[in-house]
Amino acid sequence: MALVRVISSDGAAFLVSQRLAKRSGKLKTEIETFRKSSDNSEAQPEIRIVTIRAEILRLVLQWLQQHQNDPVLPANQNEQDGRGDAEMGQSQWDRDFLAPMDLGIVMELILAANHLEVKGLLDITCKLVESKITGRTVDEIRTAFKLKSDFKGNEEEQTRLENRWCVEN
Amino acid sequence: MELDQVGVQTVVEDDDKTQIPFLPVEMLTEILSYITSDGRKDLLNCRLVNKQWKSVTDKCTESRFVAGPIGPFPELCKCKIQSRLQDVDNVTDIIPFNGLSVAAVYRICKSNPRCNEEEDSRIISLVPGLLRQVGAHLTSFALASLKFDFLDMPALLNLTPLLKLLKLSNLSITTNMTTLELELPALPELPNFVQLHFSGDYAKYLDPEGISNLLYTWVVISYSDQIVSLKMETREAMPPLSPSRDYIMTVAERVFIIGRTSNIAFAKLDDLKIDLPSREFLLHSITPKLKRLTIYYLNEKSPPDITHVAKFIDSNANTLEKISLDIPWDAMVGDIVSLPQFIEESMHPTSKVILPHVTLLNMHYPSPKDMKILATTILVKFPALCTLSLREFNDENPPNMTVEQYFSGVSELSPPLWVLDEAWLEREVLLSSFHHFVSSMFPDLTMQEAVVMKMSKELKFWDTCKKLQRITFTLDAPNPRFVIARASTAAD
Repeated sequence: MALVRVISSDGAAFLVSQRLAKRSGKLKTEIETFRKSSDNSEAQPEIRIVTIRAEILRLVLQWLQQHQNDPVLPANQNEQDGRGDAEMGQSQWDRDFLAPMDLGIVMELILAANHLEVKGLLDITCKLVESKITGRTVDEIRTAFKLKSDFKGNEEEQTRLENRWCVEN
Repeated sequence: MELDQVGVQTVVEDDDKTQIPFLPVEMLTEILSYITSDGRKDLLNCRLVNKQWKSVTDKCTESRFVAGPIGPFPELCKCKIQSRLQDVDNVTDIIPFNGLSVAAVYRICKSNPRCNEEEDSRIISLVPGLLRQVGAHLTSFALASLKFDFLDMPALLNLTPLLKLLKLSNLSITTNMTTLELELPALPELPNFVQLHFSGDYAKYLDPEGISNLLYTWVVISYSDQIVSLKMETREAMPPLSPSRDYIMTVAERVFIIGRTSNIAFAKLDDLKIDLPSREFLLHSITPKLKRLTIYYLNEKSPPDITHVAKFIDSNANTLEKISLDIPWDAMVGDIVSLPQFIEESMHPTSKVILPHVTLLNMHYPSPKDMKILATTILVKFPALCTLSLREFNDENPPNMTVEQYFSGVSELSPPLWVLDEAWLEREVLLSSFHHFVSSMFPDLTMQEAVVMKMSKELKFWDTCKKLQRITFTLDAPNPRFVIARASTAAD
């Protein structure tokens, strides 16, 4: 079986079947680039992902393995459709997969899924983060995302006033 | 085996495992795009988290919620809202809105300026909803006789990105003083915005603090470089330079600093109508394209110092084409006579400025004693004048005399003129207004005609302004008008 070596930012190497790796748009492109530039068609490609650390990369590969038989979502699919599919495709396995993660890990996973072009994973993780926003107060959002308000003077009050124009009373 | 892990190195433990990685703008945008259209409130909360979230939210909501989808009446491009749902007149379109069949989204009219508070708040609450639905299409928006929160202005303008004309009249401006003491937020960019019209007759008693003027000033300075037509019928002066309140000073100072230092401040201004302009406004505003100027000074108890009006006119001598001065003659004369540039044999002959392009001059009708000043010292400034429009006869001291006595006293001057029609006369007698002198002196239409003939022969205006084609006399609001055209012989 054709394999590919995927190396994380902190140097951990994962041996993955090319068939699985190609479900990531980014890895697929890298493998094809390697093929074109290599004389030896049997050589094993090696891909360094300098932005993703091992813990996160492992999670991405785990998710890909679980979903290896799903239809690949086209990367250019519009958001509206993408959201619908994500909802539909979110299995019990996905929920269990995401459940133990804290928000920081999920955010890293979003960045990784985006970088590696794994649409399905991006969908479920974004959806999870979105659920941390909807129905929450501003303070709850700030706490969840560990953000501090950096508004100066009356900027926040002004924004509140503007908001009054945007919701039904 | 599909997945094989080979020699994972020790992962460096992060001291703060719970730290949230910095989210790039595009990822935050991506996350926010998952919020569905039910989540307007959630998006609005996102605007409040911090500056980055606010800017990202605003970008990705622009087309989704804030400006609203294509509304139920996308053809609506002009909107006028006033208080009072009843008393609707001149309704052109009936538009169902918020469950009300409001003729009035288009034109919600009122007659009583002191509107009922409850009703007031009901109508003002329509405004955000309306703008959410149609704001994206509006090119013209008028708001009148309503309570309006000072700091709602940015939101209103945010919802109307295509706005060309904004008209605000008789608003009762409310505000939270503690927020006003801080710096005013920036108003959004409105690339099409060219016309601004404020009015408020009763601003003084509703608004002793002058908040409405502050609001107007804020809008004026925010768009000063793009406004083509500016009408400020506030019946009040712009904020003074040394006010008692700090917040007024901030804005007022900015106006004048802009006027003084920036060549583009009013670079596009073509048409200016202003009530009681402050000295600072007139002296420090640079208006390189000003063609039409209207200044209103009536109803002031003390005659205004119009020195700066004269200076302003002179400084725009090369562009002005139409001038309308609503200034009582006693004020005019008092100051003009003492003004070097208006007197031929003055101590400062160099200041006698000619306005070569002015074709229309509209001013009050002078009393007989002032007629010579008009004919000999004012009109010489306007060689291209085609139409002279005189109105609102000033009879501060109505003389009790006959026509003959009247003329004998001023025989060396051009005679005064008054033109009446009977309907006007009747009303005027009832009202006993300041036109009383005219109506009581010459109630007879035949006599009026004689006066007109006499004047058209003797008036020296024709000689002073070679291009003058007609003189229009307008006496009161419903406008009994009389026009004297240049006689063909006089034209030579």
